[in-house]
Amino acid sequence: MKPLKRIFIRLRNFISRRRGDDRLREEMESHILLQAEENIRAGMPPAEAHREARLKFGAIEAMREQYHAEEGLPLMENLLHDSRYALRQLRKSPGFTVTAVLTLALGIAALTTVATWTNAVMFNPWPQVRDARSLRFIDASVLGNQGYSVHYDQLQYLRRSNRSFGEAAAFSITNVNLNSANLQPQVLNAGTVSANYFQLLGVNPELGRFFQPDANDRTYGAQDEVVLSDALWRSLFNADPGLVGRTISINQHPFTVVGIAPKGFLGIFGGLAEAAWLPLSSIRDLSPDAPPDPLERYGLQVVVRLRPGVNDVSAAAEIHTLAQTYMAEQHNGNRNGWDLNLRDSSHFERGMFYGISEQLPMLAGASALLMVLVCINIASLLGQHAAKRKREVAIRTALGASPSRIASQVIVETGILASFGAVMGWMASLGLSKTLYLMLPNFSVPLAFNLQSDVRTEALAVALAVLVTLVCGLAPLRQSLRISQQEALHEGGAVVVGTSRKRIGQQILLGLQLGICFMVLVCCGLLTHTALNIFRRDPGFDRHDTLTATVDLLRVGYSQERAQVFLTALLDRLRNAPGVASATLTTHLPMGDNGSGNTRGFSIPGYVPASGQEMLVVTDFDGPNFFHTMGIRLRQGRDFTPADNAVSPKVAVINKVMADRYWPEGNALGSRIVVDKVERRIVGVVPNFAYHSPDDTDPSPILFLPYLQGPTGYDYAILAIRSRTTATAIAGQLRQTVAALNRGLPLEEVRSLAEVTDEQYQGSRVPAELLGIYAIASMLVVVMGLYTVMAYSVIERHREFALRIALGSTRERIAHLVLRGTIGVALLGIVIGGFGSVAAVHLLRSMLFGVASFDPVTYGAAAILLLLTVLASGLVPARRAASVDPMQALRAE
Amino acid sequence: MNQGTLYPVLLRLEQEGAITSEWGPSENNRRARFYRLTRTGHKLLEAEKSDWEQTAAVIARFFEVKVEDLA
Repeated sequence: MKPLKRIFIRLRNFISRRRGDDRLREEMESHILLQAEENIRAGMPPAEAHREARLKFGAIEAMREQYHAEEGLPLMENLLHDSRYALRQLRKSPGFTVTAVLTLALGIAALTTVATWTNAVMFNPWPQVRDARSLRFIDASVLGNQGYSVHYDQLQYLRRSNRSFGEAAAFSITNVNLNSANLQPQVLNAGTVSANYFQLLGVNPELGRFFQPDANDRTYGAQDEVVLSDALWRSLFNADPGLVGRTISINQHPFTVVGIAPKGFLGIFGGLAEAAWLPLSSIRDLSPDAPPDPLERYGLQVVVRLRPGVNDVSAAAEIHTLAQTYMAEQHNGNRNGWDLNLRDSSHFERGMFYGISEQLPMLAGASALLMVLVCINIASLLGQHAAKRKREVAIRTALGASPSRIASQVIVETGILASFGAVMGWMASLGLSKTLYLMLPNFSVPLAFNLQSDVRTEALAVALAVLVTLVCGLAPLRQSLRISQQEALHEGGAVVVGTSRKRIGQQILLGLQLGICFMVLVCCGLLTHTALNIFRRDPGFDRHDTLTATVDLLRVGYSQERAQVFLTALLDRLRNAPGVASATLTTHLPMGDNGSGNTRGFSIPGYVPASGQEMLVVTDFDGPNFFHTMGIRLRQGRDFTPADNAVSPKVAVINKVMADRYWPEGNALGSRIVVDKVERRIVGVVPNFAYHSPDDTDPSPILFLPYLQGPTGYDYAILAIRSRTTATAIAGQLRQTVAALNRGLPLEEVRSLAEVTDEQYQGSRVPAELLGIYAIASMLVVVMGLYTVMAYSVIERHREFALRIALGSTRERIAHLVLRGTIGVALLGIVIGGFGSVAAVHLLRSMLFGVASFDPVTYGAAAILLLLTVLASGLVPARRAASVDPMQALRAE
Repeated sequence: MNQGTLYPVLLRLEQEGAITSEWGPSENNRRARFYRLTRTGHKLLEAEKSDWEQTAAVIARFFEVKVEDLA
């Protein structure tokens, strides 16, 4: 109680600045007078009596100080004094302050931005979801290729048999057409979800209710239900609370709005924003052609919540075992290439998360290196700042300032700089983190990442500020404490050349900085080389002058048969339209993102598969003149033609890999192949082309079937029209032709083939661009650091240069002298950077394509660039050194 | 000990509420500061006194100990 009371009184005194100094003086005076009178009474002469009284009392000033220390809070008071003093100092040297704060902000912004991104894809992707850390995903792998979806029966088996997670929910993503009174028809990105989806995620409705969690997914709901996102509810329905319970039309089928999801919840499909959620049971009503059990072959993502205490290893093991058992039960163990895998959200390949999380280690590394550069800069800036104030520190020490007071002054000043830097960096990262979207392909689907700053990123910014204060403040601190008063106060004395020990430390720091810069340059160079290699590689088809668009006839009420009739008529018209060179349709564009990798079982008469060999092949459906339109020249046989229709003999085209694998004697053309129990004749063999990514060096077999030769199982068709001029020139023509046949059919994703395929180059282009930004930033930081150090050393060596000139040295030689010093540092940097690059490139090598890890061109270019940087930053200081006027410099002493 | 060291201690006691002080006339009619124990101060003094006596007694017992007592 008592200490508390004292602290309270002292705090009050501190805040009110109340001082009992006058009272104390009076008391002390009267005390001494009393004592003197007593001494006189004891027989001393008056002068002696007063002297004795004062001696007995002790040092009055020391008492006052002690008294004052007891009175208020000296620690706080000193801190306040130091801060005020530091702020004044910083204001007095704005150049130093602005440089230091901006540099720090740059480093801190880079790190916090990467932290925000990491948070968005790995730690807290869905802030609205309860305990998202315990969520796991399950996907299937076929023949070792992961990322395949799971079917409903498999999900049901998992639900029944697992022990690791209890419930499992399923979800998928689909485009739907939304119609409502007084509204333009909208294409929405909707989630189709199992009834327990919201319950498993622990999300509560903002309005209304969600689906009944324990319902049967096949039969749920007498009337179709839909849940809307808060964003959609606000933008399309003006946040009308009366919407719940009303009916809206989705794919021309009535759906009752039962609830609104909470603000910010946009589904958990890896960064794709969903606008509405439909129960799985409603899939039957989304297309008029749906099979009797649409869930039988519907691809689902599976999300589960691990039970407390279950770890990933045991859960993954259980899932593998369950997959084996399931396959043994269902297929008598035939399909042993099928397995189930446990994933966490960061490896959710079906969304955008994977693309980001792949880049994160590289970005984090580059940001950390940039931060090191920044710290070195700050340290040398602060060092010079301290050196300039040598005199002041010496005077303060001479007047009795204790080392701890000097130290706290330096630390407070560094701390203030660091806090400014941290706040600025953090604020900049709020904006910078939005650039995440620029790194991603330009999808027609809206994206949503959790880029809110959260406690973790804020803590990081604070931690960085503290770290910078401690690390960068250390050097100037040591320097200030070591200042000898004699030396400092007699400035202008014998020191002509700076102390060599300090110089060596400085050189090592500079070398380290240049080394790091060299590393970043090398990595950036290698990635740029990679991106160029991939870009220059012939994809095997012609990406230019071709317009693509997607139509979904089933969504507007066509059956598969009627859709084929419609598409045949559409292609006939397009082919003859002005400006069109050729027109076709497909389920998958080369290097496109739709429909890639869908496999079908097949057999070849007379071919006996080896035991364990799966007869599955990636299969696409293409319209007439597909290969011609794509600019692919067949190796053998012919392209699909309009004559390959529903009544003509069934045909197929295969790629070279497939022909070589199954018909090694080269007799593929004219051979027969059975796909889905239909026998087809192979009429063409095409060369391997970039099917998915432009850097694929290991092409897989692909089977091409005519789209218009009977049902394909696909709802959509991608139109591809080669123009006689440019792709954009025929966009109007395409719209007119489609509208002439059906005014109500929306054209989706109208893009040129170049735009579609550009997305596949992003994977190599984005890292190169990002590292390019880091390379530029680190070069700037290095130039700044070098310049500061050199400019200061030129000032320090002013007298030396003056003497040299006075003794007959030419100005050129002075300039050389300065520049020569930098060459040594640059070479040191290249050596350090060379070793660093070995490590960095080792981590990077999986991202390289067609370029050696130790590509001499890249290393050479980086070294030359570094040397030029060093020379450039040395130029101005060298000029200044050469222009020293010996008379003036030496007289100034 | 210098007499001046008394003042920071007095301040601390005053902050703890053990004493109060006021200006008053001294014997030879000069202004002087008078310190007085408060009720809390008296209590504190009693407590400290008994503490001290106890400590002193314990230490005194140590001095009385003879070798044979420890055997």
